[in-house]
Formats: sequence, C-alpha cells, structure tokens
Amino acid sequence: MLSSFLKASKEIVYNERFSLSNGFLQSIDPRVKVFSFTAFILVAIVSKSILPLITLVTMTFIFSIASKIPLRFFTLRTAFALIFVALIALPLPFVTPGSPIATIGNNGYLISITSEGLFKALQFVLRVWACITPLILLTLTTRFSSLIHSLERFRVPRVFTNMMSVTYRFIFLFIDEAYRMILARESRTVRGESCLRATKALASMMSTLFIRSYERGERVYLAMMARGYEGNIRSITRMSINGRDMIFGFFAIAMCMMIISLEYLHIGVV
Amino acid sequence: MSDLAVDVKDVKYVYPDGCVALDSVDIRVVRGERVAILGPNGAGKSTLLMLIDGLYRPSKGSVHVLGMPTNGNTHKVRMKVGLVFQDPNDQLFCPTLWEDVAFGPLNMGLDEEEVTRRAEDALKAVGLYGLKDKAPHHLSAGEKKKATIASVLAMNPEVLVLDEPTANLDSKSRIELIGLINNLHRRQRITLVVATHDLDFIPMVADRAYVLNRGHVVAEGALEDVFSDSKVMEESGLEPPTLTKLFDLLNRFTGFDAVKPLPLTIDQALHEIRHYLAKSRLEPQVRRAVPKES
Ligand SMILES: Nc1ncnc2c1ncn2[C@@H]1O[C@H](COP(=O)(O)OP(=O)(O)OP(=O)(O)O)[C@@H](O)[C@H]1O
Ligand SMILES: [Mg+2]
Repeated sequence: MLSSFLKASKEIVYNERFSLSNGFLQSIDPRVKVFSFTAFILVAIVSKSILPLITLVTMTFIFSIASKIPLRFFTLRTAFALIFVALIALPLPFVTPGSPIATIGNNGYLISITSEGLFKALQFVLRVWACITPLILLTLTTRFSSLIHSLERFRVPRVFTNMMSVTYRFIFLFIDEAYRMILARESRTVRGESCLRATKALASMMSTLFIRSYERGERVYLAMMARGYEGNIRSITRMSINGRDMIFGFFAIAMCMMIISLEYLHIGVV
Repeated sequence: MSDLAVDVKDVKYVYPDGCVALDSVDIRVVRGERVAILGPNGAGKSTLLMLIDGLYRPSKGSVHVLGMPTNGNTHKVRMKVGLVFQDPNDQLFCPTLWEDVAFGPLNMGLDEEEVTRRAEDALKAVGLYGLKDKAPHHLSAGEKKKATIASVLAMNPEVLVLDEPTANLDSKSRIELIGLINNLHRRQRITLVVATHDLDFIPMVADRAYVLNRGHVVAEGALEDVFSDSKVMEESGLEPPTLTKLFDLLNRFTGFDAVKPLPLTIDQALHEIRHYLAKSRLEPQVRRAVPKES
C-alpha cells in the first residue's frame, strides 16, 4: 500500500513526459514562459472580480490543449489542490455580512448564507485556481533544468537555484530509498499486521531513512569536492529567443494589460 | 619532480564512529603505472581511494600525490586525480547528464568552448552522447556508472582512480571500458589505480596489485605472483581468476605442466596451450581445434 503511494508521488513530483513532447508551449523559450506566466499570476492576484479570473483559467486551459497535455489529466492535476482551498473557503458564505439568500435554523439561532459571502468564496477558489494553473502548466511543459536556468537569468540568487536543483535530483533518490526499504519490509511481512505495530515500524523506518539521507548528503558533498567544487555550481546555458517567443511574450503582456485596464475602467464587468 | 604518482606512507584512518578502516598502510604507485587494490568487502579499499583524492585526512601518516602532500593542497590534488565513486548516485547530482559531465571542467575554470568540447568527447568515449539531455535518475545503473566515468574523464586527470568500475556493467561495456582505460594509459601515460573484487577483469587493466584485508596490506607484487599465492588469496577471501584456477587444476590432475606464474589472460593461456601442444605427441589432431592467436 505504502509502496504504491510512493510510486505515485514520484510521478507527481516531476514528470518529464510532457516537457519533452512537441507541443506549443514546449517550443517557447523558458525565460519567456517564466515571465509571461508570472504576469498571469500577478494579474490573478490583483484582479477584483470574477471575469478576469475565468478568462485567465480559460486561457491557460487553451494553452494546455495546444501543448498536447490531456485535458482530463490537466483538470485533475489542477483541481486536486482546489479540494483543500474549498475547505478553507467553506465558512465564507456564512460569516460574510450582506443580504441573506437562504436561512437555516429557527428563531433566535439563525445561520444565513449571504450572496456577498458566496461571491467571496467563489472568488477565492477561482483566484487560487487561476494562480496554480499557470504554475502547473509551466512545470509540465518545461524541463526542470531549463526552468532553473531561466530563474538564474532572472537573477534569482544562485544559492536558491543550486539548492532547488540538488533537491530535485535527490527527491528521487530519497523516494527510491524509501521504496526499497518498504519493499524489503513488505516482503518479510507474512500476515497482516496490527495498526500499532505498522505505525511503530514506520517510525523507525523514518529515522533510518533520515540517517541514510544525511550520510548520502555527506558523500555527495565529497563527490562534488572531488570534482573541484568550491562553493558555487557554474553552468553554461545556451538559450535564444526567436520571433515566435517574442510574439508569445507580447501577446501575454497585452492580455494582462487588457484584463487589468478593463477591470480598473469598470467596463462591462460585474 | 617526484616520479611517484601516489605515495601513501604509514597511513591510519579512523572513522568518526571509531571504526579503524586502515592501519599502517604503505602504498606506492609510480607515474604511468597500472595498479590494482584488491580485497574483500569492508577491507578499506574505498577509504584508501578517498584518502588518495584528498577527501579524507589521514589520522596518522601522510599521503602525497604527484609529489604534493594532500594536506593543504586539496584543490590542486583533486584537479589532478579523477576519482570515480563506487556508488554513481553519490556522484551525479545535476538535472541533466550533460551538466554533470561539464561540472568538473567548469570548476577548473576552463572557457565555455573547451568545456563543451571536453564534455562531448567524454560522453562520446563512454558511448552516452545520445543521452546527454537525459536526467541522471532516469539512467540505468550501468549507464550511471559510465556517466560517472565520463564526468571524471572530462577533467583530463593525470591519475585515474576507479572504485569498482565494472559493477553493473554488461560484458560488452566491460570490454569497452577495458579498451578505454588502456587507450588512455597508452596515449597519455595516465596512472591507474583500480579497486575491485572482480578478479577476471583486473589482469586486463593492471600489472601490479596490493591486497588489503581488514585495513592492512597483506600482499603486494606483480599480479601473477599475488594470484599464485594461494594462502593470501584464501585468507583474504579472494577467488583467483577462472583461467588461473583452470591451469592450476590442469597442472595438478593432468600431465599439463604450465610454468608458474600461471596465465591470467586469454592470450597468455593460448600461448601456454600452444607451447604444450608443440611438445605433445597429439599435436596434429588437437591443433586444429585451437583458434589462431589474433
Ligand atoms: N562512513 C563510515 N563511517 C564509519 N565506518 C565506515 C564508514 N565507511 C566505511 N566504514 C567502515 O570502514 C571499513 C572499510 O570500508 P570501505 O568502504 O573502505 O571498504 P571497501 O573495501 O571499499 O568495501 P567494499 O568492497 O564493500 O566496497 C568497513 O569496516 C566499514 O564498516
Ligand atoms: Mg568500497
């Protein structure tokens, strides 16, 4: 049971299947993508009404289809986080003051759902959705290495990007190590175990895993020094922006400007 | 300039947990020599290699590499010594294979053009050029091993130190690795130190051997002599190469009398058999069954 969970998590952490296919976004320069998608997210954060959010989500979905990502997969992946967001938003309709549209309970103890509250909850969920869809789409269509390099180009501190790439590499090793330990245990467990014993075993396994990872870290550091590492990871990258990338970038910026200006000029929006 | 590539003098190494991994170890490797470090699991082979690369500091004694003491010259020593770790997962940490191979040369401060050229050459040498954009964790175990070898070759080391290089390699890759190592040795006079317990492999890549057991050097000398010393071999739990065993049995149970030291490689064995056949009365019939030496 645990082992299949780990296998699934490996799939989820990072799957390079889509980033290597030849869809639309895959062919766009990673820096342009990082820039445009950050702009989308910013718009999602500052926009006050629902329409811009819907526009953003729709646009991201259109891009995902153009990038040959299966619609069902993408919807599930983006909707997964929304379950938690929805839980957080649940009380909003009840606690926001405004005009009630439904009332529960009898005299004295009334709980009412307000239209303002419903609007707020919907807006909250949509806003989070509009923020995570571009992020997920970005990681799905960009190789991790290119993502790191474009972050470096945007002057994200080296310490941070180095840490990200090493973490990324060793998450897999960590999962594999845990997977092997669990398999080894499962293969030696004949009958079903009591819940208590299984929990205890899990706790001891976690500590072993921690020590192993710590020692692995030491050895990796030694191996890096063996190849002349002295504190920062250097890299060579060749990225070039062509006309297509420019057009995509301009389009993205234009979209963002349009959404913002429409909203602040109160033209035809709620 | 010292003509010793590696000079380990009376070294003791104690791990932080108190485990004495090496004690009074003396090892000398001349420039351009090919030396094997043999020994069972836990003998201290990997520990010794870490000391040679200046990654560990000896608890007692000293280690000199190319005339420099490793203490105080760690960076210089590591640029000259290329160490391939036993576990490739310790060594590959970049998002792509190409970056991993370029990591060493970049740290040497070479310009981009040179780094690119070296990384490409190294990847081609181990036959992984086609996988250069792959993520290391998606490589097979044997491919990872080859990748680590490439990552070290790209630094153009003067001393190549390999820890269990044949682990996980299939027989074709093993042969290619032997060819690669010997090419480097022949063309650049690279010094080789190979730790392994794969004794069928070692005669192709080394001339001299040290046998380690429980942290001590228990034997040293030409490969043939070390392998013929059945007492040391048995005590250290080492199985002689298949060919050596075969000729030992032939000597004991048939009229065959191969001269000691016993043959280690196919070529030596062929030579021995030819020699025997030439003397033998059966020569005309059997001769046809033995292929010509290539
Ligand atoms: N990080 C460590 N901490 C404590 N003890 C260690 C550590 N690494 C190795 N040892 C101990 O040092 C001894 C020598 O280990 P070493 O790894 O050098 O052996 P080896 O000859 O390379 O074995 P193998 O053939 O299995 O690779 C062993 O007894 C081992 O238990
Ligand atoms: Mg070892």
